[in-house]
Amino acid sequence: MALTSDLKPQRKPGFHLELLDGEMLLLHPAQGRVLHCNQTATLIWQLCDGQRTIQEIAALLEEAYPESASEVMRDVAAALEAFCAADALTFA
Amino acid sequence: MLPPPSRPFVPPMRSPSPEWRRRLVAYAGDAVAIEYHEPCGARLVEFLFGRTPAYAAGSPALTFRLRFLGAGRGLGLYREDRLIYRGVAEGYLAELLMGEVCRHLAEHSQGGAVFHAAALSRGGRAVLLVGATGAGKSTLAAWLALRGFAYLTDELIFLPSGSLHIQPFIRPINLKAPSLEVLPQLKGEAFQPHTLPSAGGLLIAPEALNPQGLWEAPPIGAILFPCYTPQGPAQFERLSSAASALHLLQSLVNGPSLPSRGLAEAARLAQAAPAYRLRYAHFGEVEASFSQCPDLR
Repeated sequence: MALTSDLKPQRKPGFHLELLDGEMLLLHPAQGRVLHCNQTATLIWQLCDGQRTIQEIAALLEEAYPESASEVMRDVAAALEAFCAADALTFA
Repeated sequence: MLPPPSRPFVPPMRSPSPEWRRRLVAYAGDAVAIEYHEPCGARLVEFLFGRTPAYAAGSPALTFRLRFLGAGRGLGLYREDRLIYRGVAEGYLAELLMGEVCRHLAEHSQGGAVFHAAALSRGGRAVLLVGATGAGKSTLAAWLALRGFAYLTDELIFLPSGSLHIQPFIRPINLKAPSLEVLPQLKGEAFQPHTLPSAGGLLIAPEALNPQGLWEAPPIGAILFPCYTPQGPAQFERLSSAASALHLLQSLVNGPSLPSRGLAEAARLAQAAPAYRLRYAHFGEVEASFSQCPDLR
């Protein structure tokens, strides 16, 4: 699925997560796979509430991490692709 | 019609008489029973399971039986009423029985998480060596024991739910021939009274590698994920708690029977102690890594 910046990602239910020192392990018991997310991906996951667009999520991260603004969109895209591969998101 | 093929006679497993002895092996919320009759059975069972609890709250789920089959025919090992080994190779039988018992107890554990891990202690702290079969846990555990660490197990640890007090499955260390080549002192006279040659290696009694008799696992001081890599470069790096939990999940034996496949248990253990990944080609690299790490000295 092509991710356009106006899409609103929403976390799917049923995933178990463990937060450890700012990083996250994400697991769906039925699938058995575990996704290891760094601090940025963890934050992106938490922002996927179905209300914010991808562009808005990126803007929030750029504001929080101005020194890394040039990499934000790339990190957002990579995180969303990983979540999609784990079937962890829907899009409105 | 062809006659049925002839098979060697195997005496049926009759109900044990009152002379049979019975030893429970309890671990991780489950138990098996081992019944034996002959003196060699008693010696073998004590060698393999003398350090595991012999009391269980419920009935054992499985019974193994050791039976002397007659002169020249050796021992028979039965799993319930099914003969699984017959022969004169005591070491092979010992390794088989130990493996069967460990596998059953790990897979039927209750009340916590079971990990493939070796465990040793020193200075009031436990060090866990976590990894699947073939990662080099036993060899590294033996090397550490020879350097003053108190050996606890080379195969299984149990982490009861809600507790960080690990319970090692204390058993003989099982070393294969390649491991013995790099630890030749274990083949020497000093260890001979405590060893049993197995198929392709040696079983060494836990008492020989923990002479001080420190059998209670202390609080966890460090978690190590070792990987013997004969060709690759050495690597020693601190892992984040999340990375440690991910690696622990890969060594979790009873994940499918735990809530969220044991994710919470792995995370809890990962947060209990610092974790390190160690890739090494020889023990000199292990020594260098340990010397630079306060958690492992």
